[in-house]
Amino acid sequence: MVSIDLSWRSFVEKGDEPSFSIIYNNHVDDLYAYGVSLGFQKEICKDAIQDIFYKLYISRDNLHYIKNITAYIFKSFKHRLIDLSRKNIREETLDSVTESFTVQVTVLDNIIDSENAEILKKKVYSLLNGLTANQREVVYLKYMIGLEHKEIADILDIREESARKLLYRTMEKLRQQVSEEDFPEVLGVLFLLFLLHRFM
Amino acid sequence: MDNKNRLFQNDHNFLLAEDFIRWRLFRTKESDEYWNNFLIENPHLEKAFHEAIIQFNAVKINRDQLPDEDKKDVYRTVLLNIHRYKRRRLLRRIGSVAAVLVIGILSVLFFNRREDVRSDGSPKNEIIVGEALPVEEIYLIAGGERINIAHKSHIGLTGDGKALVTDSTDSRKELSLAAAELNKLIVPYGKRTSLTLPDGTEVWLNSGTQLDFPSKFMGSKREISVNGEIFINVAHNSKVPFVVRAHDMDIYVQGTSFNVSAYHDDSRKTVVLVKGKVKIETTDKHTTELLPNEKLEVTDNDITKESVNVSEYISWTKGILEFDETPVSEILKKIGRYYNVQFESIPEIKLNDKTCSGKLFLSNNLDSVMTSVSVLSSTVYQRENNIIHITKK
Repeated sequence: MVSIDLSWRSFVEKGDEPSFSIIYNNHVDDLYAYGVSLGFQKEICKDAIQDIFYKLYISRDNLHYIKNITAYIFKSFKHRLIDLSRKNIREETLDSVTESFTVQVTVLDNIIDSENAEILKKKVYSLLNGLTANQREVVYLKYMIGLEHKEIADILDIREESARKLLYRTMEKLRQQVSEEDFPEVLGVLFLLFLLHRFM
Repeated sequence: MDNKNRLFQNDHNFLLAEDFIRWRLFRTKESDEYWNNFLIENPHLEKAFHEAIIQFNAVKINRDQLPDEDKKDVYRTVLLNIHRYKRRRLLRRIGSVAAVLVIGILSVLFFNRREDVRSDGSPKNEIIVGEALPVEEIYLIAGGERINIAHKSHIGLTGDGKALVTDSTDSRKELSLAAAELNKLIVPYGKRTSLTLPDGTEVWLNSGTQLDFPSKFMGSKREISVNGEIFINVAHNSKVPFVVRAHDMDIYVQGTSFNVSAYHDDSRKTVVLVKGKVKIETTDKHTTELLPNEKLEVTDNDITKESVNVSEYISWTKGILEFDETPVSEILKKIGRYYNVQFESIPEIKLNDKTCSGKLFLSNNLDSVMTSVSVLSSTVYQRENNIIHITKK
């Protein structure tokens, strides 16, 4: 993400369109994916992306202090999604809305052969599905977006202390799943591979 | 955990090792250290290990992508909106430049004409003209009856359909309010008053304000309507939310203090929050939340939120007008309402755009206030009966 930092610096100083478009293009897909995982419809995600980039541009003079623009953009995006969705829900509650986080695992198969890719994909999938929605969101923000614990806590709107506990629990859960479930299955797969090896 | 690893040692299939997967998905300092040590203890596996890391990077979570068409669409709209925003700002600046040009031309004409028509000898180089209008009284319409209220009185609702009016000399009067329909409190220009509602909510009404309110709050909501400017300190009641209806916005609160400026004849309406939290719903069903020290401004085609220094916006309740780089036209508009003086608003007059900063003590005497204004704005104030002239120094 080094090029993003440079583009951000340049954008903050000059407000030039090329830097702005680099920042946009670097985030738009991840933002969309994030919005969809949180359970929002395509149109709301598009509207939210549009709104936050507009706001980013016109308020850039106030944003000099931001070091990690990605964290800021993700946080703005999540808040905007919630604001937009509240327009449609005629409720008086001012509390947070989302309690879901879906995952779709893909494994690029030009790096691993497709057989192993399938196995790996299933493993990762089952690991993630054993977590809570919040924990999945945390893993996503950490693994795919590369945010730090503090930034993730900020986006989830929880105090750093609570974030630390959540992250710790996520870790523990992942660790537990290893010891509980798939051990025999793993052995089986290994044996199979061993056999395949023998015959090749 | 170690046992499992022994199993995979001879088979460089880290990608099948659950703890390896877990580590790559969710790295921590501890697990980083663990795997580092593992490498140190098993140097022969280093190549396979690093290869596995590269291969694991092929794992992606949530790779939904917006179609290119949509991505471009959104970006185009963002740029368009930015362009419009820049244009609005530019037009404002161009506006004042054009004003200067027009003044230049106008004053040339004006001077030329005066050369010819030197009639009564009185110096007619006035620029802004104002007229002090006849005094009007505050009145309350309650159940078909019209009751006069003295300037700067306080009206306290007792909750059983009656109100106690205390004026600035401390003399009291008891009134009966409407039984079923809403009461209407009308505060004309030049007057101010305050009101306490049956739940303890305090309302300060600025000049030129009408407030509609019930004699007592019943039902699941506490509701009032305003056309004008009020500062309100809502009594906290989490069971019965409070709604302030102001022309084309509804402000929802539980217990909080904020200022609403929503004059029907003003295209710009604002809400400034001092304490608490409010939710504002505008006619297009757009909802915005405000936090303390934030201001929401609603115009015909725009809703903006910004952080502000609240004292500027609520000082009127204490009889003080605070302004920060405010154009003279704005200051005169507020003073006009406060003292019931009608100022000409000719946009070409450059003097209107001159900005001033400062605090004005809004005394009962219009003259002393106008003199202060003239000092702050480097103008000359003259008054003859009810006509006011403001000229450049």
